[in-house]
This record gives sequence, C-alpha cells and structure tokens, in this order.
Amino acid sequence: MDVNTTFKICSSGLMAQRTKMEVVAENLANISTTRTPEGGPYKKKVVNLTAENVSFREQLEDAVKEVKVESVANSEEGFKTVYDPSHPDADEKGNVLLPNVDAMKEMVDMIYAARAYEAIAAAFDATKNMALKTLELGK
Amino acid sequence: MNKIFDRTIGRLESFIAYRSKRQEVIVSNVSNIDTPGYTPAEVKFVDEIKAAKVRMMRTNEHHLQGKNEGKNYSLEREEGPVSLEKSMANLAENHLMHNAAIEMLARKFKSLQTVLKETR
Repeated sequence: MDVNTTFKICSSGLMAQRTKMEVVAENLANISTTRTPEGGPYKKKVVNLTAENVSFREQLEDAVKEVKVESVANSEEGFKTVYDPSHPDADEKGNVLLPNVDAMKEMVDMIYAARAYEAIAAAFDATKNMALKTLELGK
Repeated sequence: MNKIFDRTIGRLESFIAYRSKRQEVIVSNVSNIDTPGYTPAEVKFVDEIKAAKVRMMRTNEHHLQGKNEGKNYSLEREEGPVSLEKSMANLAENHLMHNAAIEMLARKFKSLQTVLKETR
C-alpha cells in the first residue's frame, strides 16, 4: 500500500483548507481597515486552488491529484461607501471607502473550510488506521 | 500460489491491493473538494473470475499464452463536483473492507502457523 502518496494528498488538502481559514481571518480582521501601504481601503483576499498530479509518478490515469494553493488574489469589486465626514480618510464630500469584505460571506467560508478540514482529517485517520492494520500482519 | 499458500491468500492480496488504490482515489476526491474544475473518480473492482475467462486467442502454437495479471480494478470518471457525503461513506466502507480482508489474511496465516506447530 502506498501510504506516502495518500498522506501527501491529505496534507496538501489540509494545507489548502488552513490557508483558506487564514485568509478568512485576515479578511474579517481587516473588515474596516481604510488605510493600507498600497493606498486605499483593504482589499478582500481570495484563495485560488488547483488540482495537481502527484509529482513523482503518473498513475491511475491521472485520477489521483493533490491540491495546490495557486495564488491568493485581491478582489477588486464591491467597495462600500459610507458617509462619515468626521473620518480622517473621508474625501471632500465626506464619503469613506470601506473594504469589500462581507462578514456574512466570510463566516460561511469559515464554516465551509472547517468542515472540509474535518473531512480530510477523517480521511487521513482512516488511511493511517489501514496502514497500522496492515502492519499487524507481521505480528 | 503454491501448495502452502492456497488461492485464498492470492485473492485476498489482490483485494487488499484494490482497496489501497481505492483509498488513494477517495482521499484525492475529498482533498479536492474545493478545487474548481476537478472531476472526481471512482475505482471499481473487476471480478477476477470473469476476467479470467477472457483470454487472448492463440492463432499460432508458437505464440505465448496470455496471462491475466496486473490491474484488477478499473477507473471511472464521475460527473460534476465531489459529493462529500458519498466520499465519506466510501471512505468508511473502504476502511472497513480493507481491515476485514487484512483480518482474514492474518487468520489464514495463523491457521498455517497452527498446522506447523502441531507437526513438531
């Protein structure tokens, strides 16, 4: 049994979900950040995932793929404008540009990532149990 | 297999190999649950008894007899996104069947051991 490949796929999946969770945390933490080093309000980050062949061998007609975090991109749409003349970052009309982070969407993404992480962890556990059971043959 | 290790052990061996492969594919499906454009796959067991009946025809007596070896599973692509419920059910089933086969194999070895012990 090729346990290593299976573990590798599992860990790539776990890593991808953890990255998503980190990005959700970052988005939520910056939900009202109006000033960034590159200027303008904070831009919501989005994780892009791709499926990649398990590197060292072509197997099972390419059905077995691991997950790769291809990029963490900025989302450029949906900034909110709020009228608040007392805000230091308000323009001459008194409008403030707020980040395009939707708390509700982020919470949904967070739950999704947590559940996916759990599922992959369960798969990892099952594989580990199978490997241990196989080792029992030698007893 | 020879006289000591009967056909059951060979069967179990190929069954466990199939379960291991299936585990890999299920894990891949679960891990890629979020990946856009990923098509899930499913591994199906090919009945060895059926497969054994299909042999290459010998049109010349100098031809070598074909052997039925190698893969005892076939791969099927499935439509659409990964279903988590289905994948987890497959995972549990695969896990259980793999461990059952290993247990049977272990008992097989144990009975061999018993026979060897009694002849001493």
